[in-house]
Amino acid sequence: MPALAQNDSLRRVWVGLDILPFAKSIYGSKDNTVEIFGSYNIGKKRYAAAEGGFSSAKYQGSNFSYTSGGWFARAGIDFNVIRQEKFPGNDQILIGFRYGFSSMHYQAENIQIPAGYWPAFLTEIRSVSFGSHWLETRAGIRAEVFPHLFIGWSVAGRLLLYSGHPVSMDPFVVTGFGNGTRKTNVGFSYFICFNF
Amino acid sequence: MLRIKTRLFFHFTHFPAGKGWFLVFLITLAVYCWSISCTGDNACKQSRDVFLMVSFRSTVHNTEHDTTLSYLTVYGLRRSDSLLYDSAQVNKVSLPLNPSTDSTGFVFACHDAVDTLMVVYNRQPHLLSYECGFVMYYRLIQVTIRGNLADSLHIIQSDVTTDNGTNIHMYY
Repeated sequence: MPALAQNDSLRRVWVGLDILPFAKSIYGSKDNTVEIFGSYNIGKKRYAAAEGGFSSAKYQGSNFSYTSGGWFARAGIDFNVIRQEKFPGNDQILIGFRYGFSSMHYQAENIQIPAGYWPAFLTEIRSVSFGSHWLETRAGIRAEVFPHLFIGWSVAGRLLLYSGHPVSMDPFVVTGFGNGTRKTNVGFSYFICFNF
Repeated sequence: MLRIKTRLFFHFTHFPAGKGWFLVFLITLAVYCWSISCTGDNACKQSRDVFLMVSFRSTVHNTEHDTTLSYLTVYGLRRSDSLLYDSAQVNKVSLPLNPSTDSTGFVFACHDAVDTLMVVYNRQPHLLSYECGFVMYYRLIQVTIRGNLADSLHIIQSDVTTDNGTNIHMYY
């Protein structure tokens, strides 16, 4: 079948789910995430992409306990750089860019300042809400395993632009961005999606 | 059917350069695992000590320089049973602030002279790192000294943190 005809068999909309967080939760990950995404073919091998989800995290430190939760959204564009004449089929190699935003809250309880010369002291940081912004580049593939059913993976390099958390405590995880103690992160997703 | 099953596991094998894409997949997976593993070291390698650092200074011929006090005894106010310095010869002292209160007093005794240093501050729990946990940081609001040992004092750095730089110059 000619490559162009196969490509025309695809519809414009993709909707998918990142399944890597479910696998990570089996191995006792400290954060839990649910992430869905959609993309829309805007022509000339370009796709408008939107992603969103929720996450929560718990961490038991040496002298404190930490909890957080929030939601995130990303929007951007993907380019399908596969050469259809060389690689016939509906599979795609996607390179893209995203702007990400998250709104989350965190708190720390049972903060124990240990006794030294003075007695020990127990305190807390009450729930604080803040937003974060970041940019990311994305590369990955999307392969058709059954008609209109795709699985794929992508790797993302993320750069934190701003996070409004108090300087006294970096978040354990910035929802949708990753490790909250870093300005840059690498993200990996393994997903399943439908074309309809 | 076999082709479909294969693609479910290595869903790029139909590319002419399928092995290359599998290698790219493994490399990106390895980079991701490495980036996760970097956060897995639970050992705290930072100092958790937070002290108010007081340096002793004197002025001779309009030139300020460090000075050393002999037989200096220092203890917290109403804590004379627990000495921080006992007849020491020092040019600076490290003083622990009380994390439970907004002020701490210290008694400086040298020969027959006695001073009482009163320090008023704000407190803020600070997360050093997820491995090290929390310590208490302080911001000095007011520092006063009463007695017959020191002439005056000056706040150099109002933030009392793990940096442990000099916070106060005390002049003799």
